[in-house]
Formats: sequence, C-alpha cells, structure tokens
Amino acid sequence: MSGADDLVERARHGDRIAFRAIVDAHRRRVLNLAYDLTGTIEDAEDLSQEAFLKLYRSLGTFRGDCSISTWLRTITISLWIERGRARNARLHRALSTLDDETADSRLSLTESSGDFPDRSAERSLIRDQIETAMKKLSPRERSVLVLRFFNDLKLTEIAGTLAISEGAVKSHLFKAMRKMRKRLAFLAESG
Amino acid sequence: MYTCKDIQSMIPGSLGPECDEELRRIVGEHIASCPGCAREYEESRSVVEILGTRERPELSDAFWMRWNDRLERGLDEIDRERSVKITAVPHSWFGPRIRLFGTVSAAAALLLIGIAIGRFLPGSSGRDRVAAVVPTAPVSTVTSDAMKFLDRSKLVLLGMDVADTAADADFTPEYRRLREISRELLRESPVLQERLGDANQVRLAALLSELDIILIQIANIDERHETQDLELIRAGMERKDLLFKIGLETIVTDSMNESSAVSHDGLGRL
Repeated sequence: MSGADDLVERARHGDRIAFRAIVDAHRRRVLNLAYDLTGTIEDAEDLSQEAFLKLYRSLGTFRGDCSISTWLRTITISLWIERGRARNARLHRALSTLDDETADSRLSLTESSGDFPDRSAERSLIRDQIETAMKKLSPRERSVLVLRFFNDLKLTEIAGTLAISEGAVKSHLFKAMRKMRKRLAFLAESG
Repeated sequence: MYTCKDIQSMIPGSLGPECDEELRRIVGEHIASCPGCAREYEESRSVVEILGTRERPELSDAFWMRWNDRLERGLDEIDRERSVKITAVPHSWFGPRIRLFGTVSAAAALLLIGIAIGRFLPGSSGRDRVAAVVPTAPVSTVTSDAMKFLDRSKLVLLGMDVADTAADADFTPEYRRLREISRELLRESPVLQERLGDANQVRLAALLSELDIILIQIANIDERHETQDLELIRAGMERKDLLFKIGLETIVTDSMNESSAVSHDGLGRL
C-alpha cells in the first residue's frame, strides 16, 4: 500500500491527522481549480472548502478506482455545476415574477461613456476581459475549457472527470472556443 | 477524408500542452492546404495564448491559516453530526417510530398555530372583514407601494449579479429585460418619492433616491460597451450596499406592519 493509499485508508476510519495531510497535499490545486471555475478568490474559497468537506463526508464510499486528486477534481466541478444550476433557477424564478411589459423610453437618460482604462491597466483589463468572456460560457463549457487549458488535462481525462463522452467534451470545447474567440477577438488583434 | 467542419471541431483539442498528437497531425495536414481552416486555427491559437496569460492570485500565509481554521470548524461540525446520529437513535426499532411521532407532533403544532393565527389576525372575524374593505390610511398605502418597488428593484439588482452566468449570447435577454424593468421603475420612482413625505419615511425616500442612480445605469446599459457598464454597476451596487439596505428596510417595515396589525386588531375588538 502506498503512502497516499495509507493516508486515505486512515482518513476513512476517522483519522483527522491523516485527512489533514490529504488536505495539505491537495488544497492548492483544488483552490486553483475553484478559482478558474468561479473567477473570484472569495467564491473559490467557499467552493474549495465545500469540496473538502464533501470529500470528508464521502470518504467511506471512495472505492479507490481513481486517485484522490481526480476524485477531488470531480467533486469540485460537480459542486460548481450544481451551484450554477441553483443560481440560474433562482434568477429565472425571480424574473418570472416581474412584469415583463416593455417600456417606451420617455426618460431622458444619460449616455454611458464607454471610456477604456489607460494602458497601465492593460493587464488588469485583459484579466477582466478573460473573466467576462468566461462568464458567458455554460458551466459545462467553462469546466471543459478550464480543465483543458488551465489544468492541461487530455480530452479523455476531461471526459472521465465530467463523466461524459469524449465526443461531448470536443463539442463543449468547440462551443466554448467559439464564444471565447468572439469575446477576445479584439485582444488577439491588438496583441 | 475529413470535412472542414470536422477539422474545425478538432482544432480546440489540438491546441495547448498535452494535446492529442493524432488530432494535431490531422489538423496540421488539413490547414496546410485550407486557408479557411488555417484562419480558424490561428484565431483559436491566439485565444489559447491569451488564456495562457491569465494569472492566479498569490495567496498569503494568513489566507491559508484562515482557510485551515474554517475547514477545521466544518470538519468538527460533521464529526458532531455523526456522533449525534449515532447516539440519537440507539435502537433501529425506535428510529422510524420516533420520526413518526415527531412528524405527527409537528403537524399538530402547526395546525394549532394556524388556528391561533386565523383567530387573532385582522380579517378573521366578520367585523374585521368589513374593516378590510375600508381604504387604509394613505401613509401605509404609500409605504406598501414603496416596499413593492423595493422588491422589484431587489430582483433587478440580484439579476444584475448573476444574469450573465447562464448566457450564451453577447447581450443576454436577461439584461434586456432587466434594463426594461429598470426603466419602468425609474418612471415610477419620482412619483413615489413625492408621496413619501412623512417624517418617518425619510429613510425610505433616501433609499429610493440612491436606487435611482443604479437604476439609471442599468437602464442605460449600452450593448456595445456592456462589459464596462456592468462592472461600473456592480461596483456601485457593492459600494452603496443597496441589497443590504433594502433587506433592512423590509425588516423594519414588516415589524411596523406587525405591530400596527396587533394594535388595529386590539382596537377592533374593544
């Protein structure tokens, strides 16, 4: 039995020190993935905490078919996709209660300036643009993109993590790239 | 033989590190003789390059200490839950019966509370039903209108926070809808603020006026500069703590309504 397996086995039997060691070994990677998925450090903190708590609750059902690292990745992404669904369902419910009558614009409204930040803020602008573009992706598209380009996973590994076919991974990745290209085209041109 | 459509769907998988070598070969051979797919490939490659510039934040030791403490608290909670589960139901025979007893007791308690509320709330007796058709005082009407206004504004603000996560299009239908609702609210707001003339409605009027600023920004979202506009709006919402203030106002008004309902009920019974 390897050291990692031994830790998992001890943690399964309630050894908190062993679980702590697992956390120490994986927390940075899980937090990075959570940050890639959520886009803010606050949300990443929440998601990574949730992922480890879920791991702790479910260690008893861990069969060892994959590594703890793969399992943690799957847990993190599932939790994030679930959150997205709940958030969108809440929004749609809320919006459906509002009157959707269209308004004729009789107000004298100010025009937005549309000014761009200066060049010194370029890096921050690029980061914001990437983040905004990524927000346009569906949870599955974002997951696939993040796993492929930020975590360097192969298509087969992504399929395994998300429990979908490799064809589905290709399709999500293709759609994700289309949207990213559309949103980031001006950066590509200026770069 | 692959079509251009096949090749274009393979391009993302052929880019970046750890890419599929077979895909890379197929795509490479095709783009050598197909300018259309070569352009697609170049554009996708540029995007992957841009994505590669994205940095993750550096986290301090203090962050990790706080993170560890928080996790420890979560783990303690799970351990506590587990120990409660083990000690609370020592015998499998008792488990379902205790749960059944609990459910029946809870249902009975709810029924009694329901009867009590029905008995004491205004509108439950014949006299109260007559009273209910008498117009209420203007002050409470305007407060109630203002609260409905705040409810709708709150939904718009919440919508601004999350609308884009589900979006596929550039400027989503959700934003268009939120923009239209904001315009409606802006038309109602001045009239409502004028009606809020009472001394105890000053805070409510001030909140409406604060909301106006954000609603104007939402009503003005320009589809061409959507990103910049959204950032400004979200920053404004956060700076002004608008959702918190709306929540606070709702609690205060609800508690005032409750106390006025009690006193009104008491008078009606004299």
